[in-house]
Amino acid sequence: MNKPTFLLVEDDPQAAILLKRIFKKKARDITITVASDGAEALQYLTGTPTAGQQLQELPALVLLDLDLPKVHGLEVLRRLRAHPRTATLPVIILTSDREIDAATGYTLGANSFMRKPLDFDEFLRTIVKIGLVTFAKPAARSDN
Amino acid sequence: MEYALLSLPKAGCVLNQTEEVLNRDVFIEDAEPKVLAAPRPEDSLLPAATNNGTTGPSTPVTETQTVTPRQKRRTRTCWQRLLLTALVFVGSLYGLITIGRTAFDNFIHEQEAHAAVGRTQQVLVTLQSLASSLHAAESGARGFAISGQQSHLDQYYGATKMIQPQLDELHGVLQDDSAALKQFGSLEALITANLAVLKEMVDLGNKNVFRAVGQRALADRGYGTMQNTSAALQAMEQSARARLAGQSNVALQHAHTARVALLEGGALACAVLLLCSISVYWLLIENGQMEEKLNGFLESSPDAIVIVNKEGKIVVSNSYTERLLGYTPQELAGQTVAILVPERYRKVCLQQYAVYFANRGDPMTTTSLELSAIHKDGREFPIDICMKPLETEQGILVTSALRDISQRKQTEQKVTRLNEQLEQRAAELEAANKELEAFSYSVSHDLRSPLHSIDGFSQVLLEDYADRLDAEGQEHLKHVRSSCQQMEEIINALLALSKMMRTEMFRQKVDLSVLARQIADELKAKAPDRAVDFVIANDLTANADAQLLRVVLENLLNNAWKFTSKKPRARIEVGSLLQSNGDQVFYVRDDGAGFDMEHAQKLFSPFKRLHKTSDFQGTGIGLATVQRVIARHGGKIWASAAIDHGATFCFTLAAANKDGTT
Repeated sequence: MNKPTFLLVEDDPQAAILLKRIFKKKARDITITVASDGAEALQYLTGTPTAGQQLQELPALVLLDLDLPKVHGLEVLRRLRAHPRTATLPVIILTSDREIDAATGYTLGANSFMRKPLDFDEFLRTIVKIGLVTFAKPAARSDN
Repeated sequence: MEYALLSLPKAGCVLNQTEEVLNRDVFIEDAEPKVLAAPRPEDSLLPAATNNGTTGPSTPVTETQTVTPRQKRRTRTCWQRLLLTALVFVGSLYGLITIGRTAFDNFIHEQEAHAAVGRTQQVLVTLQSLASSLHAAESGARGFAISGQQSHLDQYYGATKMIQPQLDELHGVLQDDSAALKQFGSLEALITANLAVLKEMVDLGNKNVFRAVGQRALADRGYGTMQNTSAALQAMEQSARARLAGQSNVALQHAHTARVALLEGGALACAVLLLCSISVYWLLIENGQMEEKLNGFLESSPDAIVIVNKEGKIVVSNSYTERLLGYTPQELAGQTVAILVPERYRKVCLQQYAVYFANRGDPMTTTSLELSAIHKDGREFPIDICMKPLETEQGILVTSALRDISQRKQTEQKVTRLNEQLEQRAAELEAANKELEAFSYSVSHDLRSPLHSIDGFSQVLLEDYADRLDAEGQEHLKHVRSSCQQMEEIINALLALSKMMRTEMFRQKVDLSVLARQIADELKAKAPDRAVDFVIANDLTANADAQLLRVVLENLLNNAWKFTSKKPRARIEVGSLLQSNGDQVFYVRDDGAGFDMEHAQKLFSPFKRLHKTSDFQGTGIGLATVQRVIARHGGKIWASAAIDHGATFCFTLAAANKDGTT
């Protein structure tokens, strides 16, 4: 069975641990892969594979923090949308930053915008809203 | 103060400044300059205009004014005066000549009349001599004829010899009188006849026949001719006497006229002399006054005044010049004006002077230049030169008023420096403010992640490890979480405050009544069990940023809500008043816990709380945020309260028609 994978782009390891725990408790099927900065995330999603390696399978969803070292979250988003492989990949911006201009995120192609710490119920409502298959009907989805 | 007008001996000029006429001949222009500074070639007053000095000031500030008609009028008055004087002089001269000529003519005529009188008197004398000669000849002849004595014959010959020369003399004297000459002709004929009779008598006597032959007849004839001759002589004498009388009269008249003319001439000459003397005296007095006035004017001036002629030489200077520049008026007289300015300004200065003399026909102008002056001791300082042409009969002179503007320059520099400092400070302050905002933002922001972690892991402990913690441990963890939440609120409030200051303001008409009701409804919805009466006035409008004003009302109403929480039934009012100056004051009043007015000044500072958190929840940021929003609108906020008797918060927003941004 092909479990869905979410890519969490988060530089704070504690925050990543807490988020992974939530998914572990509430959505066991979902695998959370963590990229700890913007460059790593871009490499994972769009980077050319080194010799002998296969191209990474795309995750079902990207949870993108904005305040990232190396490459800022909004820049990551811009490049993802500019890349043919990831142009339509669902991305939810995750940030503790209340100041962030959500409009900028949407303009750059984010599917949704959520505040940290993540409220799982709100997260569920959001992924339904953006059209990702809900976990209430697991049979309807799996492979991409 | 010593009188400094050294070189205004006699010069006629119209002094514009004093509105006076000066009458003098020449300013001393030929005074040899004392060698204070060797005159340079460029000191000439007609420098090449194209010669741009490299060290000279770029372009001096020049102000120009045209000359008033009054100045022209003054010139005209001067000329009119001169013309009048000339006319009077010419008239007097003409009168004197006429009178002199009359006197001379009359004198000549009198002389002529005298000559005529002389001649007439001579005629009379000759006539008398002639008469006596004739009588002598007649008695001689008669005696000889009667007595035959030789002595009678001698008398006869002697008298007869006299007659012809006397006749010739008479003829000569009467030469220019035709009437007299006619009488003379008949007289001569009578005398000739008379002499012929007498000769006949003598001849008869010689022959001794007189007594015998025709003696009587002859004697009668002789008597007759003698009578005729005498009558003719008398007539001639009478006419001569008449002529003499006329001639004497004429002579007297001419003499009289000449005398009168001489008297008149003398009187007129005296009058002219007197007038001239008065005029000269008056002019001298006036000159003296003028000089005094000019000096007074020069000396009373708060500026150094230098009057320059067209050679660029100083003609006059006042004693203030000495104070300002160190040169006495005597030292300056005849010097080139260029010594007063530093080398690099000389060209500009002299060019400016040259303009006046080059454009004589042009309207007179006043020029003001900002240059530097150089003191006798070599010290340089900024001055303001104001040049004005001065019309004189010798042509145009230029008065230059020099003013020391060191102080003004210093003040200007100081002001400029202060302004620069102020600008720098303002920039620094702005930068510091921005930095502070950025700092507080990033601090708040960066504090959040670890706070989330603390809270998150506490939650993990409580959820997953509850079975391994006793009740007390779990209680402690709950306190950790509660503190985390409190801190989260503070951080959020700080971020909100920082946002208040950074977001752009957009003013529009805002209905405070509607806003207040919305907020009140939200509050009531959160705690439906509380009994609070909201009394909100209708139609409270303001020209403000709607979002910011919502923050204000939210905070104030939240406070009111919070501090009335211990009352079973509370009352919260929102309304407005008009201040005496016309400003609208909005207020939010509650009947809650209130506060001690002693601490009122702490009210609007961040993190200052007048109540314990255990009594009333809060971050201590709310009123600080409100205060800043009000300040951004240009308004004021204040509060009045009493413990347990509620609080009233009043605020104004700047006038509705003012534009929005801070």
